[in-house]
Amino acid sequence: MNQSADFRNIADFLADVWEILLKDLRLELRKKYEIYSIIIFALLSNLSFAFALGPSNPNVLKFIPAVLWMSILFIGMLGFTTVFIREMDKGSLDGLRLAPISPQAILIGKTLYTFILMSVGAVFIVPSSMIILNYIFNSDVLLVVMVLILGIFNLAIVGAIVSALAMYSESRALIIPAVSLPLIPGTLIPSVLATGKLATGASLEMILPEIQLNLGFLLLMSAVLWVTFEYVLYD
Amino acid sequence: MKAPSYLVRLSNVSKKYGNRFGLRDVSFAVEDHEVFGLMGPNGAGKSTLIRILATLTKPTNGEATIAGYNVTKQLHPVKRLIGVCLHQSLLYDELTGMENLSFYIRLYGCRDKETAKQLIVNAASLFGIEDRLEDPVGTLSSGLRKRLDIIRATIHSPRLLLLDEPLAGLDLQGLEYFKKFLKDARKKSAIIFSTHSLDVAEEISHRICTLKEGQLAELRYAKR
Repeated sequence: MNQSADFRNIADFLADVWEILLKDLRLELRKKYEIYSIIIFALLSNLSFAFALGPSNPNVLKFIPAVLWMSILFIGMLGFTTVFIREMDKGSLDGLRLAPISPQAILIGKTLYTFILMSVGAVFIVPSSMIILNYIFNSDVLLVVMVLILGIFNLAIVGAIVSALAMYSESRALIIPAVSLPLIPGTLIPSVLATGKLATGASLEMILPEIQLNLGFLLLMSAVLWVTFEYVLYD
Repeated sequence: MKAPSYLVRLSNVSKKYGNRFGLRDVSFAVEDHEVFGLMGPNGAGKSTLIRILATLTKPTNGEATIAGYNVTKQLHPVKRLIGVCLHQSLLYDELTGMENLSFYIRLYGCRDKETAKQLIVNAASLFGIEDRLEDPVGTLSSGLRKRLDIIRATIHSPRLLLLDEPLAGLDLQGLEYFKKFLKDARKKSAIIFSTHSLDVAEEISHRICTLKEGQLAELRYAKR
């Protein structure tokens, strides 16, 4: 009896997450708030780096990880800073606060939305940079995808924290970089290091320390956000 | 004689914004199925009172309960019991009326698409906007948007309706739909609504509460 109630609660929770995610994706597709900026930014940043580094620069592999992750980070900044703030400014956040759903369902729905938005950006950035900057990953493609997914998901979580903390503030321009600055290096540095190793053909064992750091970051940030988000949303 | 069954109880509820009282020691109770009008000038505390009952604002002092549930400590059961229409629309301009209402009704647990659609169409027909459900909300007039927002607040058949100036933006036709809707709604729900119109408050309320500078200035039965 209790077990079936638990399953029903979990199913309801996941359904709520899905509704929030679907609504945000639908809004994005309807208005295309960020997606055009992301695509244009991806192409322009790659072109700029291609001209700065030159088409056959032997040092390109040293620059690639930083180029890739800075572009992905900027895409995130375009998307994740608005994830709660847009709802707050339009007044629709009260609609979510009034709904009889778990605050964590709102949080996960919003984080997944940011993750998808950034992943769409990465889908443009990574292949276009490989073509424009003329390099290939010499490692297993699954490892590259894993490092990208983990790093992007961590940035999406940071984005959710930053956006949620900044939404009530009138000094958002100050709060967003101030909160982002100490958090982002925790996932950005391991992601850059792992991507650099993958460009030179590293195996899973060789990038394991960076993966572990990113997984630790994911657990820590998820726990902090899970525990505090209810207070952020309602207080 | 049967004792009244109070659905809402406020006991010395205060809310301070900095050094200013938005609400000060307000106490009253609202019965099940009662229509309770809140009146008062701008800044009197009507919206603050509704936001406290809606779980959106925490009182500085005092206690408010709905069906015995504390509005600051038992958010989840309270939110299941209430339907709230605030001064500002909670709808998404980019989505259609149907998409907006479907989104909200699913958050209240109605997952079946067909059932949800039927509920939405029925509710929309009560307000005369069933043929505008597929229009993006951003393209609707403020009156039609208000009607949609009232539907959003009421579609899950709440036991208590909290309506903050529901008449604002409604034209004469909208007002008639709203009065008709209230007659049906009070069979199922208690209703607390704020308004600046004394005529409407007298016409549709059982009791009228007047707030002044955050304090309860008068509580009386309507004259009808």
